[in-house]
Amino acid sequence: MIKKKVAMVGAFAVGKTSLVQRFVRSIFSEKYHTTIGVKIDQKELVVNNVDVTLLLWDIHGEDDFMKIKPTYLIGSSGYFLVADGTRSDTYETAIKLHEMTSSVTKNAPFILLVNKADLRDIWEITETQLETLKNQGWKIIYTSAKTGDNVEEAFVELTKKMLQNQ
Amino acid sequence: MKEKDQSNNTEKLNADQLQELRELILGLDKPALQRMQKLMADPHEFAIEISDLLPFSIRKLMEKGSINIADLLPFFEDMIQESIGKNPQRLANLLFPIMGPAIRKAVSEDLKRLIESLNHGLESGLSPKHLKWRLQALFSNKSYLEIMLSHAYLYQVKHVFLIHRDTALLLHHEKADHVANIEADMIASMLSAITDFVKDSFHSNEQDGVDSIKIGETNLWLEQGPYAIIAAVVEGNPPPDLRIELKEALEAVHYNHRPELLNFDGETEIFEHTSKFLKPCLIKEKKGNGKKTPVFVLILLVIILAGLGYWIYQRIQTQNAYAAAKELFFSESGYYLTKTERQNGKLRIFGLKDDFATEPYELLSSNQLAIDQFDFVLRPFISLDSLIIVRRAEALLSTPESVRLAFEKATLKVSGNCNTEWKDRLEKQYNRVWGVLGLDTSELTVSDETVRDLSWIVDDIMQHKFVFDFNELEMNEEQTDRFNKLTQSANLLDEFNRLNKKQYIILVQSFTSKAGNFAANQRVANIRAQTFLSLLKEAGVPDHLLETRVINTEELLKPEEVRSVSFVVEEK
Repeated sequence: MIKKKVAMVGAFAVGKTSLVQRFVRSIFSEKYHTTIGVKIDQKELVVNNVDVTLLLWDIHGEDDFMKIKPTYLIGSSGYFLVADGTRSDTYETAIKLHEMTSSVTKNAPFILLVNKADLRDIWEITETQLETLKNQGWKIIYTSAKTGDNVEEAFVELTKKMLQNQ
Repeated sequence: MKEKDQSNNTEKLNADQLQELRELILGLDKPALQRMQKLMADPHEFAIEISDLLPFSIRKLMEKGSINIADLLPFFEDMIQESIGKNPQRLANLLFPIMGPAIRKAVSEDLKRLIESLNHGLESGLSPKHLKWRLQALFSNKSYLEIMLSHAYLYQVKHVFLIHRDTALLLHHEKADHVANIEADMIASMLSAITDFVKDSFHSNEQDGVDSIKIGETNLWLEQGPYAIIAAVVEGNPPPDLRIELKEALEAVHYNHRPELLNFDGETEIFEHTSKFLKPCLIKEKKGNGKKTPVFVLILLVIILAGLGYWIYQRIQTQNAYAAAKELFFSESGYYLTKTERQNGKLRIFGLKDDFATEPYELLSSNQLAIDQFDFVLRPFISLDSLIIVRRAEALLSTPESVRLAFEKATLKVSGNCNTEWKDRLEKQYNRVWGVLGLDTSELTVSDETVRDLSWIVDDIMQHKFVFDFNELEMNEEQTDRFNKLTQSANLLDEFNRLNKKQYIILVQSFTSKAGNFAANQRVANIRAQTFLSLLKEAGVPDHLLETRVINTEELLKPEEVRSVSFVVEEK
């Protein structure tokens, strides 16, 4: 059994919690987000015949009033950056958070999840922007909290990256 | 010219000769010289060469006093200072496994002194509770403080978590028996998040951490190590000793798993071995712990047992008394028991009782049974027990004391003496006595005629007169014969007195005369009276029936013979 700490960061209200809540085991309420700024869920999966338990640190979205505490990121073996495709500012926030998280986690593997894939028609984040990131080696997965598309795949993908990295 | 010659000679020496010359001067052969040259040219080789020698040399120098510890101290102090200045955490991590025990030892010494001081101070506590604890301390050979503190503890460690400090991942979890399973992984991580939050919020020093969190009756105690944290969930009020247990477990984990903790990559299987360190932390303590023998409980137990023993003894005594009483009334004549039952702490005896039976409480007393333990509900009946028939006959027939009654085979047997009147009554009334069918008077003597008529007895007694010759005291044959008849009459008078409850007496009168020697006459007359008195007593006449009197014939109206003895019956 291998355990990994995984952080999930992004701008405020990009749908981090909604995105994963159907796919993880949770015992803590949402109020922890507004009190201590983090809520922890658990995700168990088998990747490459290895039992892996992910402890998912769902960190409160960063905004002007609440900054992500770097201490919550320490020890993460990987992280999800989450952006809302319909809000271009969340793209900027994701890039900014990546800089901090990458530094704290010593370049741990990550995946950018662009949420609200079911609303592609009204996305503000452009393909060009995303292509730029892909060209820099970023792994980007389009997800939908509404339909659950690609969420499970995202977990598997990040876990593979973490296992390769260890 | 001379120097030139020498120079020429030297040039003439070949290389071998020079080598031989060097060996003679230095005492070293060629390989040894080459080795020396190599050492001088290569510092690394030289360092290796003297590495064996240097510690020995230093030791010798210290023994000689050429250098001492004081000379070396500044060097080591600077070294340590440099190390701390550069990376204090490294030294702290190195010292962590030994610092804990050292600090604990020092603290425990201080605590010991503190406890002794407190113990002394608390000796003055005089409340009833403190007095009880002091008695416990006295009987259990423990300090008063220990006893006092033991009453404050009631706790149980329910969970122990070993958490990796950097990743907040759960390395191992132990729980107490009969405690429900929990989501240990998530809880451990959340716990780390909360402590991080507290630490960040209050800008605590990086090495500091949250020691404890209290939520109602639940306490969360944390011990922070360089690479791992131990968290214990405790229900109740834990003692400070638990902190030591947690510290020791954490130190053991660090000592045994330092490499795994340093290089932790999420693989937790190796930390299954920490179970042996974590399980001892699952301690609990309850009031009245089985290891301690609660003396006051023992005393209470002894009192209860003594009370129980006394109660059982009393019960047995009562049971025995009840059994004896039952046996008594079952066998006693004139009773017939129907049932017994206990009521209000007494034995109530139901049954039948003949009026001529002995009263029940009198029976109990005569058999040493406590009368206050019994109650009677008795109805009258007529008993045909022999004893009761005899008692009934005695009462019905007004049986005189001289008569004895017995009952056998339905026949009333009568013995002793009686008069005709009573015998007549007996013969007329015996069959009125319940149970008596026959009468046996074969042993009954009837002496009714001799005692019925007092005048006849009196006449018979008074007719006797004994006349003696001068100065004579002895009776002749004829007088002796009459004396025997006198005694028979005297006995009849006694019988008359008894039957008729009278007090007639026989007055023995001895007559004399004033003529001649008066005193001598008086003396002889008195002797005659006393002689008769003695003779009558010897013949069986009771003493109380006899009195004597000396009478001078000159004082009598009716002349009496002098030197005679006669008898008079008088009522006393």
